[in-house]
Amino acid sequence: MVEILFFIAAIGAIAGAVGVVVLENPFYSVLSLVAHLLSLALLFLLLEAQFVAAVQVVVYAGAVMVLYVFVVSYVGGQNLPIRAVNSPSLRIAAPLFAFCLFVELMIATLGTGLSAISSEGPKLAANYGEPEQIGELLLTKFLLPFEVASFLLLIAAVGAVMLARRRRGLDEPEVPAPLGLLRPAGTGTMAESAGGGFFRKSTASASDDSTSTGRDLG
Amino acid sequence: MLSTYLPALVFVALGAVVGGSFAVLNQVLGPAKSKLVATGDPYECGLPSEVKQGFRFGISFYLIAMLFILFDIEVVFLYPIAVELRAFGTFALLETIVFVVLLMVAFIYVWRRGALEWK
Repeated sequence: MVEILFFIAAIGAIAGAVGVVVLENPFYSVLSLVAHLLSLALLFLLLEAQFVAAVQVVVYAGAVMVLYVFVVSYVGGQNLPIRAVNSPSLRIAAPLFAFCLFVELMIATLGTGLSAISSEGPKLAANYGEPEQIGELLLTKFLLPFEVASFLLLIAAVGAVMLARRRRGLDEPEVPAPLGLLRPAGTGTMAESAGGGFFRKSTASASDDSTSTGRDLG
Repeated sequence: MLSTYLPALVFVALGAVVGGSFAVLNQVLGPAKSKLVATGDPYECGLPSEVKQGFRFGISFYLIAMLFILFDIEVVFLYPIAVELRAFGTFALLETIVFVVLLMVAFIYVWRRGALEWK
């Protein structure tokens, strides 16, 4: 049963990875990547890494792929079919680098795999790969990487906001008017009910004009 | 090992069957599609629609998805710690507080910059 599942997952992973490269439509490529990542989750499960498998499905196959779909939609999607770059230097360099990567992976897999193929495999603890063990390791051996990961997420959040602002996705933060702070929202003036105050109307119409050409549809 | 995953497998199989059957039954039971080209068009008369097929999303989608992933990963890190919280006691709690406070800084920054406002 384990062998059958391994071959299903391995074929699914390879077919998904090939599909990402071969398929013309970027959306189909993303869906193919989802199939690839789900197969990888099954492989993790067969390696007794239950927590990693669950995270693989939730974070990669779920959240990251949604982000990829948005990126494909944002960049243009079907209007821009992927075409190979016609460059003679790339034509030589790309297979060369692919071959180097292949050799490197073969050295890594064969070097460790061949010596272990006749053995029974590692002796695993009963709770191997479960959240308890990972939590214990995060609090003892990998305490510093755990805290650094938090800092890395902080940097990523700041970077995402900065990049979005650079693309004029977000306006400058509004400076609240002193009277607006005193008055609770919703208890509006007549000017508000007529379609916005004087200042707000002038800024809103200016930003609307600049973005309405392409953004309305989104 | 595999028998412990039987409930999960049943769950996945049920999901696949229900989802697949909805996709297939629609074609089997639904009314036959009209062969006329015009019925497939958005409007049978008047001006053609200006909505293009491959329109672009606004950057808000991208930004919200990106921030969602960041805080998703935060939860992924917190889950194993939460399981081990009783075993390690105050030390685990302090480390969790340091972890969460750093991400709270990110959250407040994102919030104050207006990145959570829908544009």
